[in-house]
Amino acid sequence: MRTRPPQPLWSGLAGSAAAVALVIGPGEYARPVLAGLLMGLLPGLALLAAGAFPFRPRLTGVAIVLSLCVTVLASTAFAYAGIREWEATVGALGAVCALAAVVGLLRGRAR
Amino acid sequence: MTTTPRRIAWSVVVVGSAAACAYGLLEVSRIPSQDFGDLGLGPELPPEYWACLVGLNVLVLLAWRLAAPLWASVPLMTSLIVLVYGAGPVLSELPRGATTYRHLGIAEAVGSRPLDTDFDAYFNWPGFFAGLSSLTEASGVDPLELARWAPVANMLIWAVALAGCYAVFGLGRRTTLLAVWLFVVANWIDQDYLSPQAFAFAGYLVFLTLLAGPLGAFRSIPVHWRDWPHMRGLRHADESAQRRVAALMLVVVVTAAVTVSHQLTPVVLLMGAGALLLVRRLAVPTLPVTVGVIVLLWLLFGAKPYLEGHPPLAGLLQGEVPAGADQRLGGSEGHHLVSLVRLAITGSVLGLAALGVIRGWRRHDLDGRLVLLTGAPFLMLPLQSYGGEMVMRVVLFSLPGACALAAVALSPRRTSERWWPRQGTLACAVLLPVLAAACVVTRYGNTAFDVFSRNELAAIRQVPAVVPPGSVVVAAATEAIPWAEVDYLDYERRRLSDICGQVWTSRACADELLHRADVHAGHGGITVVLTDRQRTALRMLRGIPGKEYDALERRLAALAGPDETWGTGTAVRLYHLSPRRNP
Repeated sequence: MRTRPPQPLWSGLAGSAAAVALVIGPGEYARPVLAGLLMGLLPGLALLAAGAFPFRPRLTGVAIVLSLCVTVLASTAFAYAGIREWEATVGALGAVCALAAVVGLLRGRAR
Repeated sequence: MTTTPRRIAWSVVVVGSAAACAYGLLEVSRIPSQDFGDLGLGPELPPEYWACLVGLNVLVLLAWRLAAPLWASVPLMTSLIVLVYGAGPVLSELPRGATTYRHLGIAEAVGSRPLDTDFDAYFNWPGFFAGLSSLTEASGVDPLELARWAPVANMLIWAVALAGCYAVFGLGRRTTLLAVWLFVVANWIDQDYLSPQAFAFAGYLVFLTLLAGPLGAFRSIPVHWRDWPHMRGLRHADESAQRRVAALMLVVVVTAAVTVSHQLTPVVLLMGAGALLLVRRLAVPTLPVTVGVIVLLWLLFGAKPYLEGHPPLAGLLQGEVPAGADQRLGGSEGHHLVSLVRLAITGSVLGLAALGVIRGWRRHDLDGRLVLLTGAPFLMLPLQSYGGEMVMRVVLFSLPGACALAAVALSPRRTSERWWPRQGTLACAVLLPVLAAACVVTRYGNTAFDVFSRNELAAIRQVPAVVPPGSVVVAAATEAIPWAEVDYLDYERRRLSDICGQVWTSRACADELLHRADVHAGHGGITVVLTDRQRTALRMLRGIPGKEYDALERRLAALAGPDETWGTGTAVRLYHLSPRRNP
């Protein structure tokens, strides 16, 4: 299979920005959209990008489910730790996105 | 080169599909009554809805026949999913199915109180509920509204994940689209509501995608057992080592999330990985071991409180016969008929899949992985102690492979990108509308008791405030009561069948309830919640006559007395049986 150039870092950065915006407190209509993107799409896209998977429409399902998996794992960890604030999960997701962006950036430089 | 008239024809088809979907749902919203018969929603649906459903299935064939671009299939598929799976949310302003309410209650409890792993099994696999709690709180969306539309959202996610999965299994684009379409119209199982299993099923599809894609291998020599586990002669399907390492990590993430969320699906993950290893199409032979270790660690540590009280396979070893499987075929005539249609759908898809195996074999085009993935879930049938729902779960997990093989049966080749010959088109023209109609009838076959009104929900929410402290609350049919939505941990709930058995008489059951109130219910006694929908559910599912239910209610009213009876004459009645001082 031909190796394609790495995906831009927009998904990781967008995920981190969405997490920050959610915690700051967006408007009534923006909140569900931001939460949906953060918990159901962007972390998965960022992780795929960090893993050198070039984005293709067929990977959309993988990205969505991966994001949900990361949300589930973060929420479960906080539930066991006794931390019940949703901001913790949102922060963790933002951190995952930021980390994926950094990995992507380092990989891009190495290339 | 695409001609302008053909482009206009695609556009008409796409717009027509959206219009059919909108018009069909508009007709559903006009259905006035919530009093459904034993056949459920099907007989109440107006002819216009059926015309839209059939029209949509004809339109997609027309689009494919016109060699429409693949993007045109997206609105068509979306319209189909919304028309079939959106009928429930449009019909009722509340989520369908009693289990949904219980799941909302667990999510609320997990998100707002310390995690009590000793409470019940759900709290030993809390992953999905913790995630759901975070999602509802972060988004600010009403959980009831989220649950109401969950079937549509889940099916959309499944369809997208399934398309990606089929692509890595080497199905051509046209065959992939037909396979996903078949999955959408053959999925009568109704496990796509707001539930851990719906999330875990999506995880299973992605797990397969990663295993068959970046972690897959080309088989270059025939399988010989003496080679195993060295896996000699394999080539990696993905040449990028970096992607393989990343995919391995993503598999661990998916496995962990599924394992902390659902009891059964990790077993299916193991089976899927084992099946791919068996046909030597997995580039990492140790991956099933990794999956097994994750599952085992969770069982040993995360689910320890539950497993200490419920040793795995204990019921099986003791020869217990679980309730549920036979019950799904029994009951009233209408329910029996709906169950037969469900069997017919599954039989048709499995029959077509068998045809696909034969055709693929003859064309030297058969993918053994699909055959194994279709068959492997049937190995779970002996685990019937899983609430009697194992048959449904097995059908759900075998459906992706079966639909792929069925699509292969209708296609010229598995990897074909071109359109089918006339015979394939004609077969689809008959098969798809019939399956879609049968899917609607069977999915909504229980609407007589699994659709609730605002009044019922409001009354059920009052239960904790009414019942005496410490009282065990008993429901006649838990399939038909939207309880525990906001008060999951507040009182102890039981099913009447746990106390009186699956089939009972009013006299014996009332005596047994009184006895339990004395012996087992501490100081609080027993409170029985009876509703009209439970009466319908018992008649439809277990064949308990309505007059027997009424007789039980009269006996309970006499035993409880007017001081400990609430809601007389309303949709939800409560009868409290206090422990007698000298029983």
